[in-house]
Amino acid sequence: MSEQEFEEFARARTPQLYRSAWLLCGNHHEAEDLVQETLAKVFTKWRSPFGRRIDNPAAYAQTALTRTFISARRRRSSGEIPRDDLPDPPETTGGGSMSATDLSEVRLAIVEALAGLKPADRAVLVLRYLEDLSVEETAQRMGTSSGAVRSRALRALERVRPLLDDSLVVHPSKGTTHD
Amino acid sequence: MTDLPGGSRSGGSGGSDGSAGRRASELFHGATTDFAPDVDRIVQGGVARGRTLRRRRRVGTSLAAVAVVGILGVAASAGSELIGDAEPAPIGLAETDTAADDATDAPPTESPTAPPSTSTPRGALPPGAYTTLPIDTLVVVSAADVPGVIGELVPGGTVGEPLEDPPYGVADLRQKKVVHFLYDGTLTTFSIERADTLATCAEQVDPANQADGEPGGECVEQDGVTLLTWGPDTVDGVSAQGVSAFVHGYVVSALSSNAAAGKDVTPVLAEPALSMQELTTIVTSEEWFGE
Repeated sequence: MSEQEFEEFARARTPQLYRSAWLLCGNHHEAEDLVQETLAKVFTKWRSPFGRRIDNPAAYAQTALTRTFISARRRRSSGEIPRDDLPDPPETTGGGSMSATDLSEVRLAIVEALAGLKPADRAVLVLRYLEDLSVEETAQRMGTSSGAVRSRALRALERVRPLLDDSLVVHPSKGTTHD
Repeated sequence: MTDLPGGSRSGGSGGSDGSAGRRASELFHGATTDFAPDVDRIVQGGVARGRTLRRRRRVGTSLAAVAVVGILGVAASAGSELIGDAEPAPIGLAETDTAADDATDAPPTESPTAPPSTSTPRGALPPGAYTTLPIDTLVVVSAADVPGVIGELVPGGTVGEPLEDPPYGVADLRQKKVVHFLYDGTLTTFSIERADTLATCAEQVDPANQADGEPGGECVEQDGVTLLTWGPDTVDGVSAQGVSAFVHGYVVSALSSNAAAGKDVTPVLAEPALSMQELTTIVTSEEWFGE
């Protein structure tokens, strides 16, 4: 696979990778850095003269992104301490499409909620509810068991539950709802 | 009621998570759907970092992959990397990384540290890449003689001639040797490369440099020599393992598999033909060097 093909792939996948990265990292700067690091790792495999062909580059990239994030946080092992307090749900204007200000508040609330989670819990949330992967697929991407994914998902959902009230629904013209 | 733009996709987020899962999906999709990252900048940065990463990981990547996934496609795309490389500058004169990699790679770092020398000025050699022998040690074994030398170092096996045809090939430069051959009918690879063109052992095994986030091997010290060991790894039914020694300013590597090729073949042995001990004997031998 040529470098041009890689760039085409990267351009197509970057927006989705970026969305995942933002939810994982909680800010745009780190998200961009994480996506770049992920693309770099995919690049090395893409161009590896010996490497086994990547059967599913999109899945490979998502896996690399998730594991890179978890690995980096593990090394940092830092400053992130799971918080016991639950975030306040975002204030909304109530009615009509969400304004930019409201959307910013929602994002801020999401970031605050996710910041209190362990990196692996956060990764489960992203894979399950942004990437819409099954429990089994999520377990495979994270290199863990399905049971661990279920456990982490329940714990993580509890964390963001205050954000999941009825006031936040999907715009009917732009997407489908499950309700 | 407040609407979020975008929406969740149908997917695997239902199940035991129920309504909360569906709403989380809607929330995440809605909150991120209108993100407009600078795709050009991110992709360009990713490619640049990928090139640098690939250059730094060359030995780890190439040798591990040779063993794990096979030699398939080596000649077609790896010729410039393992076979057709320009000769690096003599080790005592090198001032920069001269690895014949992508011309657009990030500039090499300036020479870090070098052990004291009483003779020749030193180039960019990574810490830990030396033993106590002189820096102007030469590689004295030709590529054609590599299988024979290995046959003497590890007696009892049958060695074949270097595999010159695609997808294999031979590198026989003054400071770089790469030879693929059969040992007891199993694909075996031996290489010597200048250490200053490669990543350090620690960098090569660093999980941060692996796509899967797992360690790329293990660095151990043995008799004053740093050894990078990995495997056995099994892919497509073929098992392989390898050892690299950081010695005399070179990285001497050997890997052994249990099949005649890296993939799409039936293994001829249950395990790689050469044990880790035998591989270590090969890469730490002084037979490769001389004055």
